[in-house]
Amino acid sequence: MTTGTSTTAADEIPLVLQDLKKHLQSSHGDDDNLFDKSATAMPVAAIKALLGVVERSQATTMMEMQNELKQASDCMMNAATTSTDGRSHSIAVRSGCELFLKYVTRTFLEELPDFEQCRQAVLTRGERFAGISLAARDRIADLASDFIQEGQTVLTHGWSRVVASILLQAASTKHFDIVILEGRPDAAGARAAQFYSQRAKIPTTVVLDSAMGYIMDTVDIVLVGAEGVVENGGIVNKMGTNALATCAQANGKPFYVAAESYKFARLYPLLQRDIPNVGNIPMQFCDTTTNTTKEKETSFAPVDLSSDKVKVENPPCDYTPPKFITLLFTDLGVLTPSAVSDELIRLYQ
Amino acid sequence: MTTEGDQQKAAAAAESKKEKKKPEGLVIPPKKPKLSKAERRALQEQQRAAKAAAKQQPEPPKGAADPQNEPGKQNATKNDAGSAGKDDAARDAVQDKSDQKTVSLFSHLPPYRDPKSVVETGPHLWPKGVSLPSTTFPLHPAVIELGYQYAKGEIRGGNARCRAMLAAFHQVIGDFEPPTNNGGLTDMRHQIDQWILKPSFQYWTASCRPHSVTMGNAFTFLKTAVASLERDMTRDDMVEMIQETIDAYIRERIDLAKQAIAQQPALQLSTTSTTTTNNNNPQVFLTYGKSEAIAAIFRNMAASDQHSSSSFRVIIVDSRPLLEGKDLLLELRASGIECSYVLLNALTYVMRDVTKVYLGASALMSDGGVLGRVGTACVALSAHMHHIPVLVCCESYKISNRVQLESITGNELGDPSQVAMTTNASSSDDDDNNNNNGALKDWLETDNLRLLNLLYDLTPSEFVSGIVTELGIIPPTSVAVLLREMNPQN
Amino acid sequence: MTASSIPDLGSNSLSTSDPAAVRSWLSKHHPKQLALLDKFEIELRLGRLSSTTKAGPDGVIAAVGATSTSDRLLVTRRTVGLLKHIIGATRWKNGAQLLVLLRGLGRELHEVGGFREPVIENIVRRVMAAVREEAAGEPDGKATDTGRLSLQSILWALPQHVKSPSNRSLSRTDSHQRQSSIASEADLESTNEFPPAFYVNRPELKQTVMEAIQEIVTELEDVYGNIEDQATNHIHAGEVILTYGKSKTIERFLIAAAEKKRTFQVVVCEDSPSFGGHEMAKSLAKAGIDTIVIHDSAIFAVMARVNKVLLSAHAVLANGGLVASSGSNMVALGAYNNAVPVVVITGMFKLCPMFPHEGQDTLNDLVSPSKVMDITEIKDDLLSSVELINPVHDYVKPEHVSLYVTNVGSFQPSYIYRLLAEYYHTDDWKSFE
Repeated sequence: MTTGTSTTAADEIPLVLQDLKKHLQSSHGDDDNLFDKSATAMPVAAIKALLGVVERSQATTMMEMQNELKQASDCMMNAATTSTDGRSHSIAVRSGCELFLKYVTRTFLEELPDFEQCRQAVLTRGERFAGISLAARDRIADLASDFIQEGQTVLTHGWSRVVASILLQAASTKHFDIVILEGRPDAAGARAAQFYSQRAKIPTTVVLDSAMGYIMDTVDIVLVGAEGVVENGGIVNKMGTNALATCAQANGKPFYVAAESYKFARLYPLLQRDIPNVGNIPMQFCDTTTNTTKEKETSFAPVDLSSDKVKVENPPCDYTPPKFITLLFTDLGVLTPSAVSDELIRLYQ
Repeated sequence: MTTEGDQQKAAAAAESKKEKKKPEGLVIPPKKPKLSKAERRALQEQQRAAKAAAKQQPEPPKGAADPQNEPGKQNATKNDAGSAGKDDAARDAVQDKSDQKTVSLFSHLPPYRDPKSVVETGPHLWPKGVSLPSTTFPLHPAVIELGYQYAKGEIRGGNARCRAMLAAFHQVIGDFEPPTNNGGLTDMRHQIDQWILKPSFQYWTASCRPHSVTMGNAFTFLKTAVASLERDMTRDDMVEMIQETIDAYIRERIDLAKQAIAQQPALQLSTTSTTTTNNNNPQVFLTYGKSEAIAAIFRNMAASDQHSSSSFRVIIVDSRPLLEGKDLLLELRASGIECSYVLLNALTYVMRDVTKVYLGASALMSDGGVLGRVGTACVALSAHMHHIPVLVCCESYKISNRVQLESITGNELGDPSQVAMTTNASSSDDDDNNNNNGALKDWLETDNLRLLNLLYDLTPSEFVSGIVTELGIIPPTSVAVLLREMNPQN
Repeated sequence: MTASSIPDLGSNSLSTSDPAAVRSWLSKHHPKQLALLDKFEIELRLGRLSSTTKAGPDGVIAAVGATSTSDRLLVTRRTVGLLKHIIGATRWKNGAQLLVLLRGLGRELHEVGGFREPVIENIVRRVMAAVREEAAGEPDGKATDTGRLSLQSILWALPQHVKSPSNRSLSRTDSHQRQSSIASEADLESTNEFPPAFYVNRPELKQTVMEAIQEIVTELEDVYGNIEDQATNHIHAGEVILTYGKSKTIERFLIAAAEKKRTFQVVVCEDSPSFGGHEMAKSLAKAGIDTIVIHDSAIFAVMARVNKVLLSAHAVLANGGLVASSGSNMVALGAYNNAVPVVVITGMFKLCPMFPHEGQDTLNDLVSPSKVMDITEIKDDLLSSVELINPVHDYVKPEHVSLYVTNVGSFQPSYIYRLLAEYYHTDDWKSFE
């Protein structure tokens, strides 16, 4: 039995990752795929890749199937933790995989006793996952856009498709403006600013990440996305989110998080180092400039820290505890942080 | 800044420098002379003897004093307080009733004294506990009249009461003639102290209305000033000197201080907007009740506003029963300032637009707590929770070396029947009950029901962003430092 | 989307929830019920739904929602009564028709002024949720169409997760792709708004719906009793309790505790300018409770000696926030600062599925400023340009409320969202606007 799976497993391990990559790509194939709102989120892509595993699997019992799925998920999670594109995908992959594994187990336990029939049922339903990302985002945009009032100023951090949907929908009926933190080291915020300003025509201001305390007086609400939502209602998101949330609370501003429900992960971090992080990415900055002169040289000379005398710590994500979060906008509704654990308990009981 | 402003600023700065330099000037009381050990021992003996003598003194005639004492012992009184002296039974019944109406939480505070009891039974003509022949020094009519005004509540507010008190002393001392029969006191300074200052102050405090911190501070100052005069001055010189001292105190520590506060640079309107995301909306200031310093600040702002008073507007929050904010409203409107007027219930509703909150004070505790008109703490709390800066503006003579942790320890009880009134009359009318057709008009007959009318409350220093005095803006934690600087001999 | 696949609602029945359509349908088929509805609306407009309204001291009957003596439980009961009559007497065959009718009624009442009394819309939503539950018939284990959205339902890729909400504007460039993903569903569920079970004509549905409504009525009758049963849990001997203004619920709560021989003191804030606190204090004193009345300005001053604060509610919002009479926020902040627990006593019918988007303006109203400053005082031009503001309600944030005591138990503000899901269906939250 094990040899059977191992030979197929040897083929499948790279196949799973290929699948994952395929699902992540936007169907438009734009260069601009950052802005493609129809692109799939990581957890959904992971779920779809696992569906592929189910499809190709030659297991005949539930135990075998579970093993294969487990192997595939571990493989994907490993790949996610070693990725170096500056974003942490491990939580996103993890939440998607766990959700799918749970679903498969439930189906087998509750539905039809026949293995093959179950498998077919799983696959058929899986077809529908195509629409989940989009529908989830739309639902969240509907719920959340009411929280932005006419004339307010919204502060956001990093690039998130969900947040973009919300802001676009709100902009279609009201006037408000946006302040974005520039978003070192990948200048994700500056890129997002271009999108909001040019494509969506929302008045946008970019400030340095370190200016969040300075600007906090003048904003009305803070809205961010999340890479993952952990069990106590806290979130894992781009580095700087924790500081932003602390600052917002100290100034009495509401801090909102927009996340689809398949990002809920079974993690209970207590300290920053408890989150599964990529580790250290080499610190390398993407230039953002408002200098309109055409010369190539900037006014600041680059600083080279590549010699090993100076220690550099540059993890991509941090953990924001639930006490700083006012509300979470999810496709299950508007939830308080305590409601997140409620959902997870009900699913995994 | 105009040159006028500069001059005034320089004057204020010079003034403050003068104040910091010890011991010159009439403003700061001079140092007490240092006594040797023997002298101190003699002084102690003398005081102990005086105390023992006072205890053995026979009580002054019962007739005049009694009815006045009794309502004084219990809590709120009815209109027929005078009838309590008719017969014992009636008096006892009144006492029992009044006992039920005491709020035990505040039983440590002197109960409210109905002003009619001050009038109908007549004031003391003999000051108590003073060792002198009873025919020599009755209380001056100005003192009695002022006492009545205090009791009726016609003069309210720290500055007003202090000014009135000093004006009364000014007049009384002007009429002072050293008597032939001086009962053993030969020193004119002691005479003034024992026969004028002390009895008047005691009369006001014990029989009319508990004194305010401002009155207390001014009184201490005056006593010390009198005590430090030279022994061998003529009567005319002494009187003139004392009157000058009083005038200087009023002028410098009350009036000029108020002007200096109004012209503090941090209180001027700023003309720039901060970030690009901010509009050039007019600034919104919120204030509570009435305060002379605050009115001066706003008038000054309006005068210096280049946009002809459209750069800011003021929200005045007011509360029952005194509704003092209406006076401020009239004053500000007369200066052309755009105003809104709300009662305390709308506080949360209006707070979201406010830029800064300005509050007046009755007194500053030495830990930075602010003793103010009741309701001030609510406003400061609300502003604090909305992250809006709170500035307390008060003259430096209001600083007290007392510390109070919360509002219950050192407070004053007002007329409980004002709680039962539902018409928004600002001052008590002669016939309260006729105006009252609210639900509580029978409160005296209703069992288990008590009304509480507090006059002050304490704002903890955490809610205060800064305290503006004529010496500048200081953080609340530095009030004790200021106190030390101002009273070097303590 | 052929004609045969659209359930035939019949030409005699209501097909849309537009209020005008509802009225015309009622007038054509059920004029008696229309008369009932009209009478109800007139009373709503005049503010006489709660029959304990009376003239204020100046002889003017206070406006809807602004009187200090309005009894919202009574309003709720009368609304349920109205709905019972209309549901019982009108002709409808299946769940979908009934829901359309109810939604139309809800919209009509909202337009007439029901937005000032949120309990009316709440109870309509409650009835609609009950109808949905009955109409769904036997729910099978997994695909509960009326069930809440949850992680589980995502996995089963239930239609409500995959379908975009129906009121999206399809004017954007990438809507093209979304439409195709919806069209791939190719089944009935995505073209009608109710699950298919609702379109089955079931004659016994009327009976079960009426039974469900009767359950609601019974629950409403027991509101005060259930609340008072919890009185001794929260009030102990020797406590000093602070309350603000007038509230029948709190009055009964305190009297119930006193009857169970608890000795405590109550401090009542007078709640100017409506002076509801005066009447409250009088009733409490008559019931033998040791009562002290203070001005609103003394709230912070006495807070140092208070053990507990009791507040009443106008509405409880979905995030656990509270809409209560104006001045309550000041009390809640004072309590929060002194670490005094704030307990809100309310019936569950005041739970509203809405968020405080407008901040302090949520469910709020500005009423006549004549109580702030009398018109006779505004004699000259100086004062005539002064802005006088007199709001009716305050919004209190959920973090300043410690506990909600209701007729179904005591809850933390962070738990309110669960109760919402039990009482109302998500699709009905916004359907009346």
